[in-house]
Amino acid sequence: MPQSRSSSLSSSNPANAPQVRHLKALGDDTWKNKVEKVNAEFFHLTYGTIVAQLCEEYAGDYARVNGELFQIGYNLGVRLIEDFLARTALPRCDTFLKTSEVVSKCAFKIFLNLTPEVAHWNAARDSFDLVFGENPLAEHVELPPGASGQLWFSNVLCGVLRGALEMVQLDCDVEFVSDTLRGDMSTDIRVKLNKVLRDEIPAGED
Amino acid sequence: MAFSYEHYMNLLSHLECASETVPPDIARRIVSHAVAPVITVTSSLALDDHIMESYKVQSAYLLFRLFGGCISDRDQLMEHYTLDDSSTGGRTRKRSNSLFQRDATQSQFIRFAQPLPDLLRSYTEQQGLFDNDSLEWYLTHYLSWIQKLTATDPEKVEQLPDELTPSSPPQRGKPLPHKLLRNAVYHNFFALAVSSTTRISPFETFNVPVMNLIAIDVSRGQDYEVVRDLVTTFKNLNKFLEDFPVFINVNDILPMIVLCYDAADETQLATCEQLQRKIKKCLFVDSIPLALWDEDPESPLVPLHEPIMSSLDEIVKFYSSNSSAGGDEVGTDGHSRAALPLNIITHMYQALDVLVDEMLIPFMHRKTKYWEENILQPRKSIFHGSNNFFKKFIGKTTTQRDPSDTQFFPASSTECLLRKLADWSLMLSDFKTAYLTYDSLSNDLQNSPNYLASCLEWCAVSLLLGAQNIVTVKMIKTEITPLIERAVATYRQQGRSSYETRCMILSAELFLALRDTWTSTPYAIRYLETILRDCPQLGACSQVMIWERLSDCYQSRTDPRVASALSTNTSPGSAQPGNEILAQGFTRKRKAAFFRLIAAKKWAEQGQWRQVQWCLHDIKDIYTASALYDKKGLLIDRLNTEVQSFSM
Amino acid sequence: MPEYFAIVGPGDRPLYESELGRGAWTPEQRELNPFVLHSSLDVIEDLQWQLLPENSDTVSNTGGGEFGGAAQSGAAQGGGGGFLRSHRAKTETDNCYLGRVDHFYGLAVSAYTTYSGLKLLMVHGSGIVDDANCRSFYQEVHELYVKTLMNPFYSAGGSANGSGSGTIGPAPITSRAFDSRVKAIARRHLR
Repeated sequence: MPQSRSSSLSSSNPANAPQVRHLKALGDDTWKNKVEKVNAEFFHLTYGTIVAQLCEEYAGDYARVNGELFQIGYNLGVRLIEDFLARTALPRCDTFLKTSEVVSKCAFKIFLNLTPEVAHWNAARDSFDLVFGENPLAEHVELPPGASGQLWFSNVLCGVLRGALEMVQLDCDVEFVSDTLRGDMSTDIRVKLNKVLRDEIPAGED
Repeated sequence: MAFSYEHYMNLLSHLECASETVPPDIARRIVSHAVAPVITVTSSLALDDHIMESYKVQSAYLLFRLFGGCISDRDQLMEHYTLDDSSTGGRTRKRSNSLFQRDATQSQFIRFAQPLPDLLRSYTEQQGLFDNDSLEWYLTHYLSWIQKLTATDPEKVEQLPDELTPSSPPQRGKPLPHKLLRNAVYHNFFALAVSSTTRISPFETFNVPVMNLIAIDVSRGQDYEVVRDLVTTFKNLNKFLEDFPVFINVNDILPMIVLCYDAADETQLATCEQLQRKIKKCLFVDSIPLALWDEDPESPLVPLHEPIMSSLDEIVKFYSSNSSAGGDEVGTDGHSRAALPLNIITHMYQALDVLVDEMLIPFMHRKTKYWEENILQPRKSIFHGSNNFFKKFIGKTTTQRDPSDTQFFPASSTECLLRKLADWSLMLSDFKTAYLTYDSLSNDLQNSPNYLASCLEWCAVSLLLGAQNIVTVKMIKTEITPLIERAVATYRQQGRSSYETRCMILSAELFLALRDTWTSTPYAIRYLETILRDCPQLGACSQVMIWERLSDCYQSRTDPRVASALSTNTSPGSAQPGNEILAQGFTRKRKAAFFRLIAAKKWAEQGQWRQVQWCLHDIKDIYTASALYDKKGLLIDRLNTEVQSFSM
Repeated sequence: MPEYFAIVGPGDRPLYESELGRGAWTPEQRELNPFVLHSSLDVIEDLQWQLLPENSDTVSNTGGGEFGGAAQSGAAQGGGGGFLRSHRAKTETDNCYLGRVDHFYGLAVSAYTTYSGLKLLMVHGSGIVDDANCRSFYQEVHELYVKTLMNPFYSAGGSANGSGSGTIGPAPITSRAFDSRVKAIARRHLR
């Protein structure tokens, strides 16, 4: 349980360096040895087709598509967290900072073989951005003209994060703030912690 | 009523036949017709006057010329088969229509021409085969006729474009199918380009008359003295006429006396028979009686159509006189036609049958046989083909040219006789002798390019005509095309551009008539494209005709391996290109469409909107499938707009 | 000299077209170019069955380019045919490049056909086809096209349940990125 929020939480924390290295090694190792791989084209076409189909079925109501993707992601996230913990056997994070590192170095590494950069901590230290250098979901994707300002193509990721974090008692808002698909400079997902849930209340039933 | 050669060639007067089809080797018939034996017609003034009084035709020649063409078809009687049947005891019924005879050589074609002095006069005026301007004039005139004919009937016109559904049952107001009509236009053009003149060329003998009819009027009391004078004049033409060409031998023209009489007067036939015997005995000339008058109130007056093929000059004269007189009145029978009573027409055909089958053809056979035995054979046995070395030694066989006229070989020279042998063999459909003779002759003519060019050309033509089904790729490559190319090059050197054009247009058409279109069409295409590139003197409409023909070439090009599959599989669904993967690449439909489009563009430049419409109609399907038909900013879009604003 | 490039899909529908190279087409030529390309499809489909000749320059005369094809169809009968076959293939897409396939009055047409039957064609205003450069151009555009197909928003076929636009095969490529990339490739390879 992350109770010591007062402990040193600086964006660049040399004290945590060994810990971060450990997490990175763990992520790399799990990716290399314990994960079944799938063809990248197959993967991104599968996801892309789902998005395209949703866009067609909702006739360009992209807000709705975003919501649907988020919901799909959420349903994935609440399951994937169990798988993730089983593979890594990581203990509970004691800080939100550590949570961010686990998400970046282990979770994304294991499931998508990428390591988004953690950046843009806010002053209250309860919000950070995941900055994606590449995005296997969006490979080769080009948004239809009308969707550019509205659709968050990879919104499923937000849902996954939200669902997974919720399962470890972290109630977070997760949302895209920018996407290269829309012509932005980078692809950023903001994760903001609302509150730490108490153990006894099952997720999603309050 | 059967669809005949004449219907096709005069399709404008038979628009009801516009949905018929013609056999692919129609060109061979046209060529046969174009080189058919020429019969000149001379007549006494009394006869001409009498004919004018009775039938409003100015001379015996002008009357006879209406009966030229495929005489075995009796095309002037086509519409009256049943009547004719009863009057001649079913004899004509058995005549098969020349168009559908399997062997094109079975049909006998003849051409009638003006008296020899007139022919020779025009010969000196101009050397070319045809005059591009007249051809162009005729073509535009013909096209404007089509435009009017397809427009005067509003029912036909309203629906001409696009919604043409061939599967629907025939009904009133059905759109006029234009495919056959367009083909007919081309073949009209082709016929004129190949044989648009009866002018006599020194280098080939097709237009030199084979027979000369001398017609007199027995009913007006003309008798033996008149015949004798006329025959004497004819026999001595070379002396009477100044500048009588050295290359014509009057003795090779069979004189034939036609005794025109009135069948209503029974004594006249007896007079004729008497006269015949006397002529034969004293003048050694054959003669036939011809009942040119026969009072029969039952016999309906039959309007006669223009002959299928006549010289361009005559056609131009005919059309220009009619267009000025006719004014707006241009129905299918828009021009004033000559008309004869049915029984007279029947008499004419019967006389012609006798003339041709019993006189003309045997005469030609006799002559060719004689020349073959006395000139061709000896050369062969001595030289075994082409040993030039020996030929030079035995210089007798290669004749010195006539000193007075160094340009031409005289009629008695070996060269001239061999050429005649070859030409006549071709006329008689003996393509083998023709080919062998041309081939042998071409070796002798190396130093006379004027003669050589034509000889090479017809050598190739005789091959194409004679071996239609067994022409192989190898034969085309090693024998036919070298001949044509040499001929074209030689014509070119001589600056005889109209002959150069004829050579290519002729061979292209004959290649198209070959059975294996996959093999042969590329050659047709090559020559047509050469015409477009090298013959700028051809008029604009004539050039578009060639573009259209190019499209036809591509259209007919189908690999034999898929031809049967394509024809059986053509359901509406599979009409879309690209669906038949096995047929991919084995047709040239898209090329055809493209050239049709180019033609449309060029027709538009000439203001021939009907033609543009037809072209656009034909390419609509293929370009609609590929989304190019309606696309803005492209050529079809522009043409469609222009057609709508300009036409009708 | 200007070039006119097009990608043609099933049913001869153009998927993409663009004017490349230097200089501009005359208006007269511009309205004709798509038809020139369309007319060459017959020849391409003929060539696709055949063993590629040693030298890709298959055409010799000045007209419609039919004549070379006649000689080749004989060779195809002997060789048995087959789709895009060649003994000289170095890479998978080597056979796809057909070189100069056709010409029309001073214009040359080069072509490239994929194993799925997609055809890439170009009208060369200069009448000259530089094989090495053309081959690279086509191969890169082909790659680019494969990537475009991976875009889930690009309709690469009809609709599975038949509710699509009614046409079969890929939709026209309207992507501006594709366009600019093709132009970039052209700048590199076509002069």
